[in-house]
Amino acid sequence: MQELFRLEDVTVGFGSHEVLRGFNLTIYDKERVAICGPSGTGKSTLLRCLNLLEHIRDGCIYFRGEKIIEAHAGTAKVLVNENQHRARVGIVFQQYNLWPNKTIIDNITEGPIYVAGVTRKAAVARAKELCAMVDVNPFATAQNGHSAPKYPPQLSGGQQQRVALARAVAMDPQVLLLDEITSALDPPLAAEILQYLKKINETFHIPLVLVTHHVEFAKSLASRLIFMKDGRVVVDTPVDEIERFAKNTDFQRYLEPMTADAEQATRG
Amino acid sequence: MRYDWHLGLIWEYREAFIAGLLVTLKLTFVSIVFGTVIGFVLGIALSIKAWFMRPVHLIIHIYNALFGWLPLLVLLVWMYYFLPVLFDVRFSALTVCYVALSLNLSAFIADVVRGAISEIPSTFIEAGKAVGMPSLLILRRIILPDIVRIALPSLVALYINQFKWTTLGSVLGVTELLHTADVIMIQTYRSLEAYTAIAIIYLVVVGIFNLVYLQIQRMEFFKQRA
Repeated sequence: MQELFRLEDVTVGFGSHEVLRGFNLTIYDKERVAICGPSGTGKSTLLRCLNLLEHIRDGCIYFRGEKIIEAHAGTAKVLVNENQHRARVGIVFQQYNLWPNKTIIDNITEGPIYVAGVTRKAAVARAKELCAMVDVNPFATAQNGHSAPKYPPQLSGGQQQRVALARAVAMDPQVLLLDEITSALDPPLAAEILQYLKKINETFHIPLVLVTHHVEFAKSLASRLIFMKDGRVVVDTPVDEIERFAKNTDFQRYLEPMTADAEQATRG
Repeated sequence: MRYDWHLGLIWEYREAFIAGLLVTLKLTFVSIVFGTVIGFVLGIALSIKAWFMRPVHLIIHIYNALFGWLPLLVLLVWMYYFLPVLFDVRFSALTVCYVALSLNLSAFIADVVRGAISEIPSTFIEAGKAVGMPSLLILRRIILPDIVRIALPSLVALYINQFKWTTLGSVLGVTELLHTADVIMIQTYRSLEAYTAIAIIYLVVVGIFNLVYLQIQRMEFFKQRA
């Protein structure tokens, strides 16, 4: 299998606090990797490092065999064009991060038009398709019968997160990073997002790296599950072999209180 | 007490009033354009938090103190009378007015812009980075429109004040509206008519400014949804 990301001896941290230390991980193309684990264990940081939104302090990261960043003793050297890298590695955030003052359509077309150089007409057509795919109507029908563009604050949290997904997909990324995208939503809405993610996955086959607290969510979407604790990988397994690790105490203790909640989530 | 109004005088001097108004408007608009451009550049520069910007920030703070803290009248007089003495450079009264008004306004706009930028959530910028937007594109497409949205009321207040500050040009003998009234008064001894006429002109123009502002405020672009 072709390699997508490779992390070698990566150390990340803020101030004197090191979140990850000497961390190694390889993620392959076509994989759907779910990273689970308790809060503060460096999952989100890891994801942000893959997108170069944060820089590592030590070690190096490869993308498709090409070294993108290299760091020694706190000084990082980015070896690719950061903006080009971010354009090909999509990320969706926990709090959606839509631009509230831009219309839904503009939120989605901003990247394609101004970064990827797609014509406005093509970008808008694509944005409308993606909106239809995630079942968000980007226009509101006013009383006089005219349709007016909608803005993010007019949407529910779940709808906003779906627009954020559409915005990331609109850039045709080579991989999609999902940073706890269901954590700000209640279980039924989280389950809804899952359905749309599956739909996107079936249509575009974009490799996924998702960070989540919901193990059930991870299990139903991912092909590989990584459980992290204190900056280390405790469990790394194909999702269908997850039972083999049922005896791992750290993993188990994390699973148990979540299961009831998560089952509810998938049931909706 | 009854005052014997000579309103015909205003009509008689209509061309002078119009000429004065034109000078006032020119001073206002030219200084607004320069003051806004300089102010935006300074305000954005002040918002860039990087170690290499420290010396630049210091220079901007000194600039703001010099042109923002000094009363405009002091600045005008100083530039007009003392620059020639100290540095042997001499500008016309009109040029000094353009420059002093622009610099003074730019100092205030720099602060307004810096304040507006600090109100823009960092997530907006991160969302731009996430789709691969370079810094300048983020500035142009995300930060600038939001600065204008957030700062519009403060900017309009500054612009209306700018219109009124042009009266200080009269001190240097620039024949803007107030100085026009001065001249008419000296020629006719009819101060009440002359000053009433310009008072009405100032009121009407500020009224028009406010009407335009109300219209602009209603534009879709200026609705804040954050």
